[in-house]
Amino acid sequence: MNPVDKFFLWFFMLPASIYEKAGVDVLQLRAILTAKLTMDNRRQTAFKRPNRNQEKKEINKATLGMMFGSFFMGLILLFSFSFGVDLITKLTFFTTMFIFIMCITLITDFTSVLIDVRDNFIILPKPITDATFVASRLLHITIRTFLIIVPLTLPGFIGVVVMEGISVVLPFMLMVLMSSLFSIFLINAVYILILKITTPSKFQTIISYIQIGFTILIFAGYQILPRLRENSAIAHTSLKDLSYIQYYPPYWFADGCQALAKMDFSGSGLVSLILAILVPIVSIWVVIRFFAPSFNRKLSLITARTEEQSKAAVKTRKKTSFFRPEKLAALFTKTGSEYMGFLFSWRMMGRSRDFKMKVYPSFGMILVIGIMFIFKAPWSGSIASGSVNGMLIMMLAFVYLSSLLLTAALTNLPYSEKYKASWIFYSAPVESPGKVICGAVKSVMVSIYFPIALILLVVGLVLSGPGILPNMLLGVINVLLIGAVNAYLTVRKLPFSSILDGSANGGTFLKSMLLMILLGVVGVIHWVISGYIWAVISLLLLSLLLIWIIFNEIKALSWDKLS
Amino acid sequence: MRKFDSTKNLYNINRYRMEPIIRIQNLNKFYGSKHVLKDISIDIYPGQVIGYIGPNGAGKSTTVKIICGLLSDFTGEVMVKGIDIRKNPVDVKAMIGYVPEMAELYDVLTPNEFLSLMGALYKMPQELITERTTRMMDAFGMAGNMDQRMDSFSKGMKQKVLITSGLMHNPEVIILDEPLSGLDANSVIIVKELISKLAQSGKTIFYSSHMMDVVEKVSDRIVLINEGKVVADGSFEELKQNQDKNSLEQIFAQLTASQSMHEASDRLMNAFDI
Repeated sequence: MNPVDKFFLWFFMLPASIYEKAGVDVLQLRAILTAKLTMDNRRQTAFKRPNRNQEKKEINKATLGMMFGSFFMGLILLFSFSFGVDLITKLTFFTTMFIFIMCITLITDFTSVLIDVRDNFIILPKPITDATFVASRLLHITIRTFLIIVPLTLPGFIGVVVMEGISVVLPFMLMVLMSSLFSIFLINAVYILILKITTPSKFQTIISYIQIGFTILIFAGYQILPRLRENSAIAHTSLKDLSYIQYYPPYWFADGCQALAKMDFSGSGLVSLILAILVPIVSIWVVIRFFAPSFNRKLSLITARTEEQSKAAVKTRKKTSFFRPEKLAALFTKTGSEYMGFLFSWRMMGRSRDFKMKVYPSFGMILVIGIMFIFKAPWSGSIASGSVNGMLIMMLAFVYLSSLLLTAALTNLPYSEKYKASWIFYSAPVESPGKVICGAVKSVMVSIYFPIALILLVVGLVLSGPGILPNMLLGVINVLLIGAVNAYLTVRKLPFSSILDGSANGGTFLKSMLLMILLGVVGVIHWVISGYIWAVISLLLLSLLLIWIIFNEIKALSWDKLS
Repeated sequence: MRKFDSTKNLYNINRYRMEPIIRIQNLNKFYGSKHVLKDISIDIYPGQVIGYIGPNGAGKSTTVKIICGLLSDFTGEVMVKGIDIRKNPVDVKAMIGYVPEMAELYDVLTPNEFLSLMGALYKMPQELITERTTRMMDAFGMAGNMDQRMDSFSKGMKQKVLITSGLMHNPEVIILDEPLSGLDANSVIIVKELISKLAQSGKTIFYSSHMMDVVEKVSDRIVLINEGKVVADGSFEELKQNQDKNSLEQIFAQLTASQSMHEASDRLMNAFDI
């Protein structure tokens, strides 16, 4: 345990005699909490996705890492102080963002850390009373929450003291505490909702998507919030002027906090203060009284996974009616190992959470970069004025930018947590592994890139008319060409056959630099010739020819060329 | 053969003279509308090694979970040493040592940390925990691994830690769910002998497994369940006589299979004809 954990454990074990009166065995409680906090410290957290280098090393300081991550997000919260003219507006923005971040962080934490189904086999068969077990869960949640809240609100805390002076210290802390309770209520509501509308087996997947969305939002927050500040309309509003603001919970916390700090209970201040204290306490009571029992029941279903799985298996088989991957595979590949590689990768990509978690966040990031690009780029004026050339440049920029997605997917193609299952390729008489890889690469292109290309083409067509199509098509084909080159240079492993580790880093960096340069060169050439339709069409044919040649090269890869 | 005769006698003596240590009566359990345990009644006497066998999904794990106090929504009666498991699960759990199937443990902890947690949950003093677990793990040849994280351990090493965690508080009743899975041949011998020695010292062992040859050797009473019902109960000798078969494997097949094994293997062979 690190000193921070030790401090919090000590702090929350102070009322030990009270726990004992409630029927809790303090020695057992301490043993469980010690083990749980030690485990947290060695676990990958919501903020720090495992990257190549961490995978092998033993993780020792996950808790400190998580606190650092919270502090980092706490800095984002500071932006809220630049909105609005008065304290109450600033505080309302602050609590809104705080509650939001708390919810998302705890949602990811609750599943991976706080709800551990192994408890059912390890702790519950031991002579432990319900009171002790419940107390251990509650205290674990509380300590975990504090480890997030403290660094998360620290920047805001300093900020508000600088702005308003010492008098705001206690009210601010009260506000943070109450809005944290409120967040816990909201999370429970979300959990109940998710468990209501879906099966427990899909639960983890949904949480993963929330996690992906969160990564993107944080990224977008850092990109967009500083720019919002420059927007004077937001800087000069006061939420007080809005009549319906009284129904918005974060406003209660802000208003109550201000009333306490200024000791001014006239107007809405007193009502807000009462609501700010009463609502979280009542909602937590609702959680304990009504949510928790049904929640535990649902959770036990997560352990009874086997039955769910057999149902899911039937579903998967029935589903493939319209978009049969077999048809696509037959369309894009020859039979044999290439066809098999395509189908195998198609199914693995669609079903492995591991792969999605690594690739999908880049979708969102590219979208954010794209949006920034439209509004900030020097040609945004010409887009606004409806200039054809400006539109073309923008669309092409999007097309070439989308190549990053293909890169993200291709880079992750050889990796999987279930990498050991790849023995099938080695034990079966596969003559040329290149064909399997080629099928897999094509499958990435069709499943990941084709939908995006199609969207871009349709958007271009709608915004700018059919005249843009030859150039857009050339862009898409060029991206595929660069993807093929990328695959030829970097994908030297069978799909889903390796575990991520640090060893592959060295050479690939140079290769990706090379690819970026290639992307730039191709893009510039395209831009230069974009006005001449005959040049566009010839280049398009040339690119197609090159793709065909490179695919043949990939297919020819023999066993000794694989790494 | 001699061993079985003697245990058979012991079993009969037990039946008439002793109070059962585990008494299961009219046990019924539903998962939703699925009736997984149908009117199970078994009395188990101190010092017995019960081999609890049955096909996948027969209800073995469910029975184990109920005796361990993990499931309480059943009907019927389960008493351990005269204590109703539903009324006083904590006291029952204190008498039981449970080794779960599938190496379920907190593998980011080290054996030292994990076993300390387990010991504390059994309310053992820390010195005793250290002393005992060091001895036990040393006997398993794992003294050098006490401070390594278990995420790098093989399945067999994890199983040794789990066996240690199930026995370290010297329980009267030991419930083993596939305890040999992942163990190498030598460790299997150690654990099998350990089971006999524990039984000799008066411990009651409830052994749930798929491995017929092991069950045949270690148990002095075999309970076979199929589709939630007890279909055979007795010593291996008794089962052999009743079913007119020579091995437990054959008895098992006769009582649980819906089609004959010969037929199935023939059909498998016929698949090559196309």
